[in-house]
Amino acid sequence: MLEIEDLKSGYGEIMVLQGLNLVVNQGEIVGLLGANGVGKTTLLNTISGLIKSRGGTVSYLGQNLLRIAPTKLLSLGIAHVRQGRHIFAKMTVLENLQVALDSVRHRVNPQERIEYGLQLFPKLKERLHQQGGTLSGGEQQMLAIARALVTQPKLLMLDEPSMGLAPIVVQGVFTAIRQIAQDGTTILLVEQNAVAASDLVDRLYVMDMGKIVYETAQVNEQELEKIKDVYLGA
Amino acid sequence: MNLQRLKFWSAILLGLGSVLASLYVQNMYLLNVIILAVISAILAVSVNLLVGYTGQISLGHAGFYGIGAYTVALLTTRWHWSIWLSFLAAFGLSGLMGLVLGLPTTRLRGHFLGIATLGFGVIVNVVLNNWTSLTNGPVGVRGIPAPALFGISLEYKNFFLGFALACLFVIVLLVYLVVNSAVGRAWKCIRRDEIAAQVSGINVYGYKLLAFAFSGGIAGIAGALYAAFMTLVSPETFDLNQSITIVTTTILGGAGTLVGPLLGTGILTLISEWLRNFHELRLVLYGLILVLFIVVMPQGIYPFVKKHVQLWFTPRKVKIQRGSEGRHL
Repeated sequence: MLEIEDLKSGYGEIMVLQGLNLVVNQGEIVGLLGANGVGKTTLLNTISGLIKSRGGTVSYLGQNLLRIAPTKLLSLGIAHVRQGRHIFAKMTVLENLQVALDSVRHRVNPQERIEYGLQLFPKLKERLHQQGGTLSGGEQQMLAIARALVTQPKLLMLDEPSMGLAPIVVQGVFTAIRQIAQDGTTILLVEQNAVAASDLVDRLYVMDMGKIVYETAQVNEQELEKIKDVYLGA
Repeated sequence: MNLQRLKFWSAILLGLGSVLASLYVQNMYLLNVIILAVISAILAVSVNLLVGYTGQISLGHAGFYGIGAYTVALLTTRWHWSIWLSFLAAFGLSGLMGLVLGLPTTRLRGHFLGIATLGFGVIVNVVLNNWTSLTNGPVGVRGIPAPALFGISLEYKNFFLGFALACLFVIVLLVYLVVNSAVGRAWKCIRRDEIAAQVSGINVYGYKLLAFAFSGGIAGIAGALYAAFMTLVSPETFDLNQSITIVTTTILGGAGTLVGPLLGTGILTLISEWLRNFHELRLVLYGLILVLFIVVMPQGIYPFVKKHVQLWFTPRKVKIQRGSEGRHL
């Protein structure tokens, strides 16, 4: 579904991604692990077009993504939940969802999608008319994910959904992510929380210094220990 | 939701009522002041679309105001268009200029956008002053005919006031409808966080252009009203000072609210008329009052008043709801 080949990207004089290869197949949950500063967020931002790439290709269902403006991504069926949530704090929960729906109204049933999002995160339903900024961190993360989901994406890219959340909240969010995958959305999950992520994913990539350095389809404890020792320095 | 509807209809009634009441105002001085205030209010509403709702600054709004006024002045005196057609043309041309100004400047942000729009305002003023063959230069254009509506000549100032107020309310209603639609939602998002807006599928560039065009068009209507009311226009009305006054009014009243710009215009007009009693000290006091307002209520008069009125009606003891993620021990 998503094929990334030899992708290069960076900021100013600093090259962050130095020829990265990665594949996400339809229906998978693919995890991407890596320590701070190895370029995980840069990768997602480059795929979205928020950062200009400097070489390589990203193809999505046979289409070259690097030529496409970030604004158009949702209508192609790619949703990107950025690190740090970035919900609209001065708008209500409902408005946050409606904003995302505005660009895809031609292909989805708004009412149905909002109901789907709220059924996944019942806590949002209680807070539907509350301003986004008054939600707790976990609820804001749920809102950020729900905002992406109402657009009925084929591919959902999540950038560290566990960041800054208490373990029990992380559990809730990850349960929801599993549900989303079961409902047919392909997921690319970027995480630092290796243990939580490994429960969820079908395949794992590990990133270091702007490249993929390890790849496995056997996500078990031994593998995880190895990854943690060698690459995550934990 | 019902309260929303009640507010909406009472605003409509208030609008209709004031249009009707204005027909009975006979005091010439009062009429002059109020008509000019209504025109300023339209300008403030227009700049509020940018400054308030979309988060863009414009320090060149006198440019659009001037283009609107001169469009009406020249089309009616030189080419003898009907005044209503020239009003439409003023809206169209200023809107178009907004779009043209937006094309390069919407890529800019903050101070840079401020400077670019400021440049636009200055350029328009210079052109009005120096393109003598078209605009008559500093002398200006005279003899603009007063419009007539349903056979009533708006030469009578009370009728003109009624008409200007009706224009203002139609514009406010339009703005209300737009900012509460998907377009307004997109603008709000752009104001808060442009990247998040992009990721949410909002065409940031396109929506900013739309805001510039719409705002320019409305300022053009204000210019058209000005020309028709004064029956003469000259460049000095549309200078940098004017641009800054428009933005000041909006911010003072409360940018990003529907009522703020109207309230700001009303209060500033009252103050500046009252200060006439102080002769030479007038501008000094005016400046002092502006500074005081900004220090005491930086978010604007309307949001300040609204917040405090709401506080009166909130019971002292508020039940604090336990966060749903907490666990009882």
